[in-house]
Amino acid sequence: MTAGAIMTTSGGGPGGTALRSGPRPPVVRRGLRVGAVVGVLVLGVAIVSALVTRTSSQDALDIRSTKPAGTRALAQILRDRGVSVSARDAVPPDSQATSAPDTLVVLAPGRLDNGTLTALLGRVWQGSDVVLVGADDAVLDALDVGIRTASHDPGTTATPRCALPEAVAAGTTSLTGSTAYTTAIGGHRADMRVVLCFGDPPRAARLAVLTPGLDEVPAGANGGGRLVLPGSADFLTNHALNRDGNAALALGLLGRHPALSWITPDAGAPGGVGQRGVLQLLPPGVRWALLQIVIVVVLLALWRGRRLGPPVQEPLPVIVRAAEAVEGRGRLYAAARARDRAADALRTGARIRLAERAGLPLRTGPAGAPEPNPVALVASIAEQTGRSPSEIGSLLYGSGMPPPTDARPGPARRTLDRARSRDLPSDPARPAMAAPAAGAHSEPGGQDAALLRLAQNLDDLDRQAGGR
Amino acid sequence: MAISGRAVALALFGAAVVVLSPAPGLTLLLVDGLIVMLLGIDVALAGAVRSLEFSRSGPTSARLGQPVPLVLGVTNHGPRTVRARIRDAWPPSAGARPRTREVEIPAGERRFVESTLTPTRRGDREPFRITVRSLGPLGLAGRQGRHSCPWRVRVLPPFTSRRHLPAALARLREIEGEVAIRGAGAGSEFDSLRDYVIGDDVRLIDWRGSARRAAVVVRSYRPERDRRIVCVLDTGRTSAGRVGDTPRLDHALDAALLLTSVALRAGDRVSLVAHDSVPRLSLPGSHDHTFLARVSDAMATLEPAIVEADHSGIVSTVLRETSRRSLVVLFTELAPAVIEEGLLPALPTLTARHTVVVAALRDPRIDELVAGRDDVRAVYAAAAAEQTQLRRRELTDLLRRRGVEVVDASPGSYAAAVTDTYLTLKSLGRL
Repeated sequence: MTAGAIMTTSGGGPGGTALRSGPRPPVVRRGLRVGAVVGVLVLGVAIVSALVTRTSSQDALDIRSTKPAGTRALAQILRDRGVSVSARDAVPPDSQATSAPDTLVVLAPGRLDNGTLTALLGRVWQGSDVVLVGADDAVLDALDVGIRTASHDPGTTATPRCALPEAVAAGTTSLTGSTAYTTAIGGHRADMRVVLCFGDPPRAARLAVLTPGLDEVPAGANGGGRLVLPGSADFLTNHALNRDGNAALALGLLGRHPALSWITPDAGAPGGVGQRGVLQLLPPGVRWALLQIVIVVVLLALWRGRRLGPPVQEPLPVIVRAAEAVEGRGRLYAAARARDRAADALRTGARIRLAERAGLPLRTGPAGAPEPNPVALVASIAEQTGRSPSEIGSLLYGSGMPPPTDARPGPARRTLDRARSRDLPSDPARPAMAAPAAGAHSEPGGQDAALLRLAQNLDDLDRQAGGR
Repeated sequence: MAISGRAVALALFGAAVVVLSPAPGLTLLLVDGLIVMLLGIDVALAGAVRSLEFSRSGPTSARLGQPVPLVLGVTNHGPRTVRARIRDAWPPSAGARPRTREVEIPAGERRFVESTLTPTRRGDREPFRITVRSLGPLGLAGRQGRHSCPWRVRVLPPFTSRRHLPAALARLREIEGEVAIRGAGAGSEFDSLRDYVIGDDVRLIDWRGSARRAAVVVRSYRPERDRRIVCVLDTGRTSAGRVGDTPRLDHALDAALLLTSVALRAGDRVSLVAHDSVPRLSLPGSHDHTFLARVSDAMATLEPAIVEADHSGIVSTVLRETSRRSLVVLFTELAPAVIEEGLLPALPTLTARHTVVVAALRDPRIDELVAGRDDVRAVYAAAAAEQTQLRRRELTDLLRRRGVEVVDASPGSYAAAVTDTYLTLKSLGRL
């Protein structure tokens, strides 16, 4: 045998004609095991990641929280400076605010609906400061103030690079985050003056401050309202507030009015302009990946669909059991309740068996079938069994069914009893099948029981005559 | 052209890359372009399928039940190594294992691939086609093509009754020896002269021989040799019925094989005829020892035909085949309608010239049915079975009265019973 020869891998295959098709059980079991392991892993990762994100987002930007991500320090400082800070989960109604301008800080402004955002813009014109933290394109479109998010990376520059007094006063800050703003090309300016600070203005700024009116009055110089759009609120947290000029910037932006509402809108509120479906929440790569998965499926189909040659055809032999016709005839007899014919056949069979055992010659009778001499047969059987010749004669040569005079115990007997009790439930006085004529008029079940009894009687006679 | 699971895995990996990429659209194009390029390279570098050459070796015939080891030789005439998955397709009943094989054949070399057939049925088995999938060096994609390398394995009848052969041969020797001793047996062929011993029949004394020699000699006889035996197989619809798990025809083939092998040892000529509505097979008589193999070979492709057997046609075929007096063994079924309408009218012409044996198979299932007493349906079935047996008995009786020997035996003893009948007839000198 050469080195390249391949040994047969199949052991002694089953000798039968039935060959198993499809995958074998070990393969199936292995597949199930792999599937279970993968399922457990996926579930584990999902649970762990859910727990991790939960803990990290719990206290973020909460003015009651002292955790690094909380903003209690900022609230405390503002209160010390005489600003009343209140936490809310919705924008307070307009009527309250008409009396005195205040500061409204909205976290996650995408959760607000269009009307509320427009109302907030109206408050800016009325003199309030509105801070929308991390406003995205959906919010900016709803406001329609000529600002959009910048696709350009703002870089790492931490200096203000603008003329906003608060920003200049704060100097270097750690205002970071991915969202940056720029002025919309050809956008509607909504009669507001825009100051872009930090990052790389005017192409990409981390802070945008809009002041109503187009006059060249420096922003914040008067008591007018402002719309402040910081790209992120990280510089407000307990952790970052004491770094660089963060505190100065925060106080400058938020501390201009005696009242401050720290608004965290309900996540479940309907109609939020920034609310997105599951598909929109997925990273953009996922859609392309789905396309790739489609390609994978096509490749998979090509891989599995390309067979190594077609199945081989072969003419199959006829499979028919030789005894099928006989069984079918038996069922026909049963369906037609051909009791007399069946009884005849059973009797003739028993006669021939008994005659052969007794050594009596068979002669061809008038019907063409070989038959023993009746007289000799009955006499011989009577001698062997000790039963009366007339009884044997009526059993072997009678017509119709025998009477139920038989009282032998045994399983056959019980079967008969069951059959009889089913057929004749409550009529002991009735002469049940005392004569063949009476039997012919009784119900078919009783006749069937009688046939069964005839077969048993013939078997008994056979056994008594010395056979097995 | 065909791709492998690796290509799919690569594309799946590409999906992960696309998800994580900052520019997914571009990455998708790059990934798929790369995959297509790799597939193209792999197909281009895969060894050519057309330049392979196949050859086979192994046995061309085997008895049913024996495994057939076959060797497939693959020669690579191409310039590149071929890493291929080869499927040598056979019909399902050939039972070829393993189904596919992985082979690596360097350029200009030859490899041998072994497989084993375990046929499940009698007859000729031919391979369908050889499909080759040659993967490239990366294992991502490859070429697929087909070859054809004809072969034929003839699956012969199993001859399970071979185990009865020693007993039958012992009986044969006994008959031959017995006749030599008794002298007055039915054997009529002169064998030799031997010295008289006390007890020999005085009528056997050969006076002329005794006069020539100084002692009394007797003639001894032996059974006739060089008798003719015709095995007639009925391949009509009744032969398709299964007794146990085997068609009647296969039981008949088994019995005919045992009869043939014993008759050949006994020095008789055996010929074989298979007939349903038309003659299927006719092997003229012979007594050389290769005849058994030829009979086996001819029987291998015999299949039951779903037509009514034409018994008068069978009789005329037999009469045409043999002119000398023969023993005609007719393997058929004792189906009343068939026998009465077909065989009986044609029988006198046959029995006038030949000794006829009708060998029928008794179905044990009928005996089971006769004994059935479980419920009323079983009793009805028992009555039907009883009636079938009565009809058979009637028919047997009828045939015996016409001078036909009838063998009616169950599958376990069928072949032995047929051969016994032959030996009995031989010892009686009725051949």
